[in-house]
Amino acid sequence: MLEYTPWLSWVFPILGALLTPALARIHPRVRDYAAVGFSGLGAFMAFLMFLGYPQVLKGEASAGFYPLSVEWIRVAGVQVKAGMLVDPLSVLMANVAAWIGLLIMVYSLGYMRGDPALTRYWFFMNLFIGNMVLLVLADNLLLLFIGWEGVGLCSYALIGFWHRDSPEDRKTRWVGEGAEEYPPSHCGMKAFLTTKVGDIFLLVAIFLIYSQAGTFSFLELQGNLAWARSLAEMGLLIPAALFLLGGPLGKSAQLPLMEWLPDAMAGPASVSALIHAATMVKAGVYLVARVFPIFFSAMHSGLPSLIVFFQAVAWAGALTAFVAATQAVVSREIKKVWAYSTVSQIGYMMLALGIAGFLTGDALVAAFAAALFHLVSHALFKATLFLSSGSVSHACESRFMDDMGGLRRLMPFSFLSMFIGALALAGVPPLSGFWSKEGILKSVVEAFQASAQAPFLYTLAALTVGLTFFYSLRVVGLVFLGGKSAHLQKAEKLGHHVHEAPPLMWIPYLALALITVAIGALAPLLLEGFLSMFSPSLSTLAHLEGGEAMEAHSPLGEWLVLLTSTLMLALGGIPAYYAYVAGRWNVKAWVERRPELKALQVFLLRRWYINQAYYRVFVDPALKLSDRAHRVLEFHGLLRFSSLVASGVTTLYSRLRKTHTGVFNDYAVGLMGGLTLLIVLLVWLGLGG
Amino acid sequence: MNFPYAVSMVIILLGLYCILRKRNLIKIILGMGVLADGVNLFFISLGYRAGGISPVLTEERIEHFSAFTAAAVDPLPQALVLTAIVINMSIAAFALALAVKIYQRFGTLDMRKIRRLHG
Amino acid sequence: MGPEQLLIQSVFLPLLVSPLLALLPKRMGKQAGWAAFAVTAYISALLLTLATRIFTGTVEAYVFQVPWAPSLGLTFGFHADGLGVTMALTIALLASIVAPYSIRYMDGEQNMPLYYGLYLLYTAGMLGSVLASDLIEFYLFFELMLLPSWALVHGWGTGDRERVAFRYFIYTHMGALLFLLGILATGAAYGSFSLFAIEEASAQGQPVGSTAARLIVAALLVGLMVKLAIFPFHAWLPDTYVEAPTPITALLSATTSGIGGYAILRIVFTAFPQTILEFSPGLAAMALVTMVYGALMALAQDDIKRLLAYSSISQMGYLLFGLASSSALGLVGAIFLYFSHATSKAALFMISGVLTRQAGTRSIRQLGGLASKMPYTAVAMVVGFLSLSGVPPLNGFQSEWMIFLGFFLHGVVEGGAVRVVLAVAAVMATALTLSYSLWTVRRVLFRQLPSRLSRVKEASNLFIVPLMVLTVLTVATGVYPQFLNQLLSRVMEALVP
Repeated sequence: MLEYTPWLSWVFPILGALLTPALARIHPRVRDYAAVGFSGLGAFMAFLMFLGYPQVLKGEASAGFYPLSVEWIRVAGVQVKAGMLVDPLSVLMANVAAWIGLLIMVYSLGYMRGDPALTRYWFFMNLFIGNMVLLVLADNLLLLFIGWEGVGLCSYALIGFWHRDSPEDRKTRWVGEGAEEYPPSHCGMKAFLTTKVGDIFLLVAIFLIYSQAGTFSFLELQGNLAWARSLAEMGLLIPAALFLLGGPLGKSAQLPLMEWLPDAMAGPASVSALIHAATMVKAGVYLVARVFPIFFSAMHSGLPSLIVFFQAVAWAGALTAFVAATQAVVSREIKKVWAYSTVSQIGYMMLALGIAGFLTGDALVAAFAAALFHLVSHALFKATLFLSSGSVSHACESRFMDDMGGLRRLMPFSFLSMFIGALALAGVPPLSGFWSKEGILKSVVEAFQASAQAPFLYTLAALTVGLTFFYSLRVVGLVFLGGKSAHLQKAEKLGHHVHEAPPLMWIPYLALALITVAIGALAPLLLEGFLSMFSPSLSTLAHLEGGEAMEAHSPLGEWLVLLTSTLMLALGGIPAYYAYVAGRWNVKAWVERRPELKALQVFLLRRWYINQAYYRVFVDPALKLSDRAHRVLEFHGLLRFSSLVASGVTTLYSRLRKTHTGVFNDYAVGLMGGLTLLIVLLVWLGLGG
Repeated sequence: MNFPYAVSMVIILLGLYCILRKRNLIKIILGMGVLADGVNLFFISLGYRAGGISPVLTEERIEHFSAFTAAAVDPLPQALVLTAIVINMSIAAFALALAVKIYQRFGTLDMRKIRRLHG
Repeated sequence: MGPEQLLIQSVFLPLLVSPLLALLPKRMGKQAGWAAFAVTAYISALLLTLATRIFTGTVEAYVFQVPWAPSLGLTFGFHADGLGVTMALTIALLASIVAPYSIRYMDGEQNMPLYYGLYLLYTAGMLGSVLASDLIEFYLFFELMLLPSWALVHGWGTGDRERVAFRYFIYTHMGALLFLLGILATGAAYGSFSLFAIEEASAQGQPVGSTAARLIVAALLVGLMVKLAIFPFHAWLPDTYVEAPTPITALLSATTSGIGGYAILRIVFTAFPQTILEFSPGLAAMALVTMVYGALMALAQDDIKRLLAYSSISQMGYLLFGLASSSALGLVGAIFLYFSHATSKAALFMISGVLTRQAGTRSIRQLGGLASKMPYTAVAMVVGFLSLSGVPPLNGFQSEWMIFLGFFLHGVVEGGAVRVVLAVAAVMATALTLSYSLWTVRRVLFRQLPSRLSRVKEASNLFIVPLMVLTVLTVATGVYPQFLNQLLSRVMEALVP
């Protein structure tokens, strides 16, 4: 029975999704509880995987197991098996996805209550959880891609959940301002299209790899690297690796495909928490981690040019972390800040994974483990932040932080949760975020001797620490501290009083916040646990180079990191404190007075104009091109040509038609002429033959 | 040049000329008749034998049968022509009946004016 | 009843019933429709049994052949192997699914018994083409499906239907004539028109020199590409699809166009395997242009039927791309696409008809917010478009990955940067498909409901049930593609040397 847990952990949620419409007919409550129930079953199955496969916890030698690999497709020499790969990475991710998913489903019972389209909501939420778990447990690239697209589809459906785009809901359900204000249905479409661009590159990479390897399976790809050599001979290995990176860049909203995530905030807060903070956006990180051993061993077995792949991952991560953090600093909508923040934090994870490619020995394992630890801790505290933001936003009936303020006493649990989450995000000790970020920064330092680029990456990462603390405190200050906004005061006059969310909503996110604290307290132990879980599987990789293995963290590194992060926290925190917590500095007035600052603010608010650039370069020209091409080619060109065919025939026959004069004599002449011709022919042929 | 053949050719061509170039339907029908006569004449001429006797079998000719067959003109074309004459007569009758109908319907016998069958 | 009997029935039953329906009194339109449904449903069941037997491997193929005009080398027969039976099953299924829709949609139109007679004749023509075992017989049925479709557009279409129908006929017919030239040359080269004989003979090499072979193949291909509506031979398609009566458009798009692709496989690949391989980079390039062009044009459309017409052009580009992949996997993908495109495109065209009936317009600009009013239609529409865009677990994804991987398999292995670039570009083009799909879905189903549409209701059952059947098929074959895979696999592996 326990061998089936990997399958059941995603089958149950999908089953739940499929049954939702039927259950809805019985009674809405049945549907609601059943939906949560099925995802709960899935989560339980995910947990049971630890029991069913205890080797995983010990990180034992074999990298994976194949419980029940089923042949799914066999066609023209290609065989695709559907199988589950159970190893530390996948079990960890599956549990993160399933359990956070469950908590958010519970939260949804309160948050989405009364929504007329709940059936659709539960359907896609469960479908999402199922696909996400499938994605992380898949043992081959094609099956992973199916889960990958599946979560993309659910994300599309859930971002655009309130697809009526009613103008009355602009303050709560839309996203953006001014020229970049978008309704939910637009955001869903944008998300799907942007990630599709990344997915296309991923698909091409999968095909390129398969064409040489003859298999999609991760273990087989790692076991026999002949495919990598043949690709390299054709000059296609680096393109394949970079194309493969395209998928994660899209799914995890890294540069240059990050623009969809901030606008994905048009969806419900539960959706933002689940999909765009805790799970789907992590799928990219997961994929990079999953193919890491493959490319790493390939690199160390005679294909050193593959270092480009790891450089790309690291740089994408570091740059994204920095750029996104700058955009979070000025954002005026609460969920958008966390969205930019998510992009930024994922940048850290990518950075760590990329850096790991430069390292060996214990340092390699440490970097890898740091990335994953940050993934887990970020999933937890980011979910907290989003869920509590949902409550706040709901209570204030607005997504803008300017419409909030002074909510500390009115919504204490939400305040506590968000405060803890913010501090964890900023990396304030002793919370979980501190440990995970430290781990990443230390790994980057270790890479100083391996690569000249590492110091630049470190600078970007360090600066981001400061920015992160700044914007985190800013949110807490704007929302919970200070005085009530004009919007709130007006609402109160009309009798709408702000109060705390119902327990069904705050219990999940407070729980998550407390878990964050617990993780922070237990971090050293947990990190050890992580290391021991991943060490064995990575040990073969770690000792590939031969020569000295690097130790995990040098003392110099530890001091450097401690120093810089304290400095950055101070640089970020102190201004934030004065501006937003103590309320002594009036940042708004200050910015208004200085045109350079105002220009900077606009630049950051307009997202470095990247979003606009994409519309100008891709969307508008495509539409214009199609319109013009349609007019020119279709109407003037080809339609005329095809009419030509028809009119040519018509002309021909109208000419031939003139032989039918209707006059008997002409017909008689024709008859005689034809007869004569026939006779001549016959005689001629007769004479010849 | 075989005189009968030449004459029948001329008659045929004359008939053809009428059919092709005359406007009046009656003249066309007359032309048909002339054409048919020319053809019949041609057929009979085909059966001619120089210095032949008529192909009528009498008592005294029966006795010298082989001499008879050697000297007689070929009777087969003559028989066929008889049939053909009858057929041509019926064709002419039918054609004239149609001509009457055409005249009743269109009020004219000028073929150039009757163009209902044009394309 | 022997299986050969089943084959004969599949083609001759609709052929024979068709004049009976046409002769029914004018007021029996609905009954005629149900009769047509009964016939096509029966044939679908027949073909499904045949297909299942081939799937389980009990039989490799069903053959029936009689000499027709031996002095000219003509035979007449039907050949149902995995490929033929897949095509025939698609055609019969679609014809039977569209029939009830047609009954409701064409309710109130004139002279319906004749319509259904022509409907069956049209189906018979298509079935005959894909089951034919002789070249001239194929051509016979090929033209046989052209005439009823012309009549259907001419008689029951919308807009400037007579002219559009005429243009459709002339254009397609000229293509068919060119194709006929190719067939005659092929028959002359091989000394026989029987596909079996040609298959055996070609195993020993092509009987004509390479220049002659190239000319013949070019004639065959151009003629068939007109049918497939490949750029630049596609100009007949948009107007025809738009002005045809919607159920007929659904059939035209779903089943008829793809027969051009089938013919390329069955005739050109069998008779001239080396030459078609030579042509494949060129074909792939044309396919790519068609894919992109069709999708781009679709983006510019306001009339939803016209958008779907251009989308069909684009999808036929995918089909040709699969045929040009020079690999068995790509070929399987191409015919899988025929099926998956049929289920999704027929559903989408039927939905355009539903929108016309319920909302009174085909103009996308005037639609919006209909998801709340028409939930079932909305689901079918989203599933249809997502399948076109290749989103798993729908059948469109299965066809696309096979087509593209097939292309990569041959392209990368044989080297040739051109091929790799073509393949990459083709995969990128799928983003365009998703673009027009999502955009249309958004503009029709989402956003605010215009006040003039506030009283729109969900469509009636005769509209919904066919849509749901197609939706279920789309998902089912996406999750379990092995039935079709198995049918097609062996045939394709034999076609690619």
